[in-house]
Amino acid sequence: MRRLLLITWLSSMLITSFYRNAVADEGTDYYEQHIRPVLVEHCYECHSADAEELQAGLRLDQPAGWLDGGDSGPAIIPESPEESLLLKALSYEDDFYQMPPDQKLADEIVERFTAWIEMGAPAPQPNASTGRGTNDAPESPQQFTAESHWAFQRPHYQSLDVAKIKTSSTNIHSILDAIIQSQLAEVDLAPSPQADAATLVRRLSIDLTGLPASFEEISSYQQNGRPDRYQQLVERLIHSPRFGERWARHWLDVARFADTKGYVFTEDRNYPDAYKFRDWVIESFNRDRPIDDFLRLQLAADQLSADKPENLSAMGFLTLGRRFLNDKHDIIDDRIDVVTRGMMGLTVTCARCHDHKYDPIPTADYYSLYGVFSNSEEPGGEPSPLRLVDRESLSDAYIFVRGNSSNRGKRVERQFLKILSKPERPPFQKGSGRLELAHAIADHQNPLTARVFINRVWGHLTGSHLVDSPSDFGTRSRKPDQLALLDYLTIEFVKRDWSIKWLVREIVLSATYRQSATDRPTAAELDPENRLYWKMNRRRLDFESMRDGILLKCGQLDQAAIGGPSENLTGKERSHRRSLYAFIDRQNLPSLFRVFDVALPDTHVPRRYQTTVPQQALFLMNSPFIRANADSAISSWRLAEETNDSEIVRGLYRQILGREPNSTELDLACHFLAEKSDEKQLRQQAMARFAQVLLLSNEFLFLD
Amino acid sequence: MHNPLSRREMIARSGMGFGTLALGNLLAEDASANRKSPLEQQSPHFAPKAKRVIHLFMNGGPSHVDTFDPKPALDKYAGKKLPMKNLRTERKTGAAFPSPYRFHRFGESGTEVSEIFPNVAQCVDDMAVIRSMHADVPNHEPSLLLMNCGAARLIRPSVGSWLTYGLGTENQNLPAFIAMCPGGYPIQESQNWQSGFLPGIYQGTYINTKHREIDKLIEHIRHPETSTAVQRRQLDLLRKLNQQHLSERENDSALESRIESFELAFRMQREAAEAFDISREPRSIRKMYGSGTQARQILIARRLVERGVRYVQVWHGAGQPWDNHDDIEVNHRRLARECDQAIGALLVDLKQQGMLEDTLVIWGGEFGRTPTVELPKKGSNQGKVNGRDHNHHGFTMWLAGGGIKGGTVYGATDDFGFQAVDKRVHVHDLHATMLHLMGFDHEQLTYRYAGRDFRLTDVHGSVIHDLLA
Repeated sequence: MRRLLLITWLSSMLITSFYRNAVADEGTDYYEQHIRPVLVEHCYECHSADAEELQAGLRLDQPAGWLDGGDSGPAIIPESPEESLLLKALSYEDDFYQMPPDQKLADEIVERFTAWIEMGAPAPQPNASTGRGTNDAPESPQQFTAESHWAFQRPHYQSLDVAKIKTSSTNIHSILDAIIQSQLAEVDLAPSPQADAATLVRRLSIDLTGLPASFEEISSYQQNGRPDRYQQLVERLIHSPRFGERWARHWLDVARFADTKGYVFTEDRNYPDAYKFRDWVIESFNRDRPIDDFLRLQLAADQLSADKPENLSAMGFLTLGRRFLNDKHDIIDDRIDVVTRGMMGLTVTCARCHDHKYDPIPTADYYSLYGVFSNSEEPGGEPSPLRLVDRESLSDAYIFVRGNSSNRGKRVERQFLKILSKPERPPFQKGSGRLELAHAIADHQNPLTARVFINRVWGHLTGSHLVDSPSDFGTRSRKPDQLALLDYLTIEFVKRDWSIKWLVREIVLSATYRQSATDRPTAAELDPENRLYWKMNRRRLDFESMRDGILLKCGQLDQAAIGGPSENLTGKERSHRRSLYAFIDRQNLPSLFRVFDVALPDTHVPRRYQTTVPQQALFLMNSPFIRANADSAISSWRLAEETNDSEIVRGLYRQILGREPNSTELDLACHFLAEKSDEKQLRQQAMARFAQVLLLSNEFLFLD
Repeated sequence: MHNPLSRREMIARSGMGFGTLALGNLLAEDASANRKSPLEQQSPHFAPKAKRVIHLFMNGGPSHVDTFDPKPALDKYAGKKLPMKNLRTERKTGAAFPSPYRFHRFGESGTEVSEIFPNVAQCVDDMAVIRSMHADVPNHEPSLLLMNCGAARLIRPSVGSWLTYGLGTENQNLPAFIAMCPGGYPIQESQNWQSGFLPGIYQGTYINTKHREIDKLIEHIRHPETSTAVQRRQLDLLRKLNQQHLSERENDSALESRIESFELAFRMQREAAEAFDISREPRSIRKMYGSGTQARQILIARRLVERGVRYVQVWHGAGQPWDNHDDIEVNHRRLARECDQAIGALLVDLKQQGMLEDTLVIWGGEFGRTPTVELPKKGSNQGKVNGRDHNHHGFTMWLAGGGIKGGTVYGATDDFGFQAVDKRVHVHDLHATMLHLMGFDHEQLTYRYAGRDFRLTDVHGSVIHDLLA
């Protein structure tokens, strides 16, 4: 029935047309790289539209300015450096102005001006914000409209040719599958069959809770004859409190979460209440708080939920960033970044010093948001040290020319981003405007917010994103092959009250998700990167799942509570709690975290790197952590007294890998144990070494 | 489709299995995404003059007028106001403060060096002394980050990270970028060797050279109880189980490189232990470097670059040892004595081994010091009037080896050493020059992050061609 849903689709945009415009030719590149920065830094103060008082009638912020020139005539004669007065001034020749007045520019800079004028003084035509434009001027990114780029348009249903899907060979559980399979059908590919039961239980368990399934869970699933056993399992895991823990850690990467401020001289660098933000995120996912609320509260809980002090911790999203030696501008920059990239996939901070090079984000937009945050302050203390509130007396925001706070440009309104607003765009009315910003971001009409969130969830569950730059949906992002799928999920997600549990369920119940990860040579030849999702991607456990899994399998994981103050994972008194409770010192992240690609908490992390380096192996071979766990695997599962080698091997396989060993494995393992001594302690050591081998195996670390 | 066997052979031959990024997925924004390992050796833009770097970091800020930039004019004004306005630095300074040390000319070049660096002085014909360095502000934190990462406050990758990202490393059994500092961190701590938005593998590996035992120098470098033979048996079993797992899964390079990573780790246990063990050096060499922590860590630095480590930073000590706001005469003399012999030995040793020509050695701090005396202030210089304040307006660094024109003195400060005036070299220019020596156009070594292409020198930097051989 759902398959019959009729969907319409707007024809796709010609992205190439504005790539061409965005990428300037060599001459303007030279100008952008070598000339404009110098003009901005040394000349604009007196010779631009932003000058308080234009000097000598000369403007150097647009070609017309230097060609028409000022009181002394044209400043530049293209291709004739020797006739160009600008060069004369820069060269500090005696009989003319010496510019810039405070100090002569370095010789190589002057030489670059000479070279540039020789080239004909190429420069891009000015855009609307800096002066007179000409009608035939090439379009600059600032003139893009929402129609120019898929991500700036609201999601639409796309029509789907259901007939194309080879229903005979597949099972289609949902529209999601229909979309995926219709694309596969176009290239004559079939989806992969469903993975076996054990693989599915392992996969689901890690994806939904971050913890590996036990032998008992796997075998009871295998023995369960009910046709809805998979759905049952999904429901059980999605309602487990471990679900919130698992998904909170994903969001903490987005939120550049840490327990410290970074380097702040001798000031106390701890954020003792940081964990309250983490716990609020866990709780939000566990209770399935609608994601629009989830986002709004992180920006403006002070105004949305003043009656519920526990929600104020949500604002740790803004306040737990690095403190940059308490430099106000950089703190605000960090907040603008985490909000715009983290929630909307827009790289707004690129517009701090100049209009965004590729996206329609003018510098004025950056300072509009700057105004929101500069009019918010941290009152500290009760009811929550993590909150922000609006300032009593508001101050106007000004553009800082080239990002330089001592060079004030024109005043800007506090308002939402131009490209995502209606043409009239009223300024924010209330206080700092932070609440209105929150509403504008978490608005169902915002074309980015829900898509960006969904794309992140999809990436976590499948190992590759639909939009492969998850925090940059700007014009340089590649339009996803499955835009129809992304849009379908977005529309339904919003309809279902932005429910993360609905979203996760929708994905994991699909046949697409349930596919086997086994390679198929013919399919791999056609689509080596699996962009069309003809199989499941094989994935490696992240650090948290690896460590938690080792602790769990060795009987050491402390799961007594959900939430609580952060604890040290390294050192002698290391905690046995789940890894998301780690104390994270962003200034000196333990090398263990770095080595295992844990998200660096310096800035927002769109996705983790995944490296394989011998330092990881050294930790697993030699660390006190692994030794203690391997020993515990023997003692906590009462294997120490067991005398039959086969039983020991079977016990450890069941415990650690969740399955029985096959005969080859049994032989290899028994052979390994055969050289053990009869002396009890040595015997136990040998068993622990064997347990360690299983913990180090690829089977343990990878998810089929 | 590639043949799994030949791929494995390839890993074995080139040692490329050191690391594998899950490419295609994770480094889609990285121009170098098609490399097989993040540390696989890469070719730079053009033929490099230097293949590796040893950066001797005199943290705290050594005084240039007491080391490599003699200013006899200060004697004339000793105890008097300079005939120029004292430039603004961190704290108030007063009268001219001539160097308490004597300078002499050395080598064929006749470069002048202070008496506190007698051994380094012997090598001036291999050195290019830049007397016209300048930075942006007179404070340690931003200046350290500027010198190390090219940006004073924002999170940016360090020079060593950029170079290991751009070049990979020659020895897959050792970290590619090592930062050594005895007794703890310099201020600004591990941010000085951060990888910023580059993958964490490009971050410097910190080594506390106060320690001598290998397991204290490198984390988890050996198992305290299991013998090598027993561990080998364990890894053999692991390999067999992993091979079986792999054989059921077609060829999967992520599985393969993890298998290989255990073999590399096993080899690294031995190789790292050996690299840090200076007792393996001939007695004559050890004698040449001298005794003490500096000698030990500078000799380790040579052993590391000899083994193919790309970038070694040697910090003088925790905190800011060269920050002599008071008692500068005593302190600078002591600090120089701690490292002079070893630095001189390093240059001679590298030369004797034929390594100086492609090893770039850099000496300097985050800035220099004022030619005027720091005025007494409670809590800052213990009321003494015998030290110098920070000075970012002008200071000295020197480079040697790796394509540097020896016997050079480049640029100049004013008559008193307050400000760089002739052929000024900004830190960005130094970075541009370093990258040039390593074979990179500093404007082209970029990384796409958060929607734009970043580079070490941001929008600045010019290569100083007069320094090149």
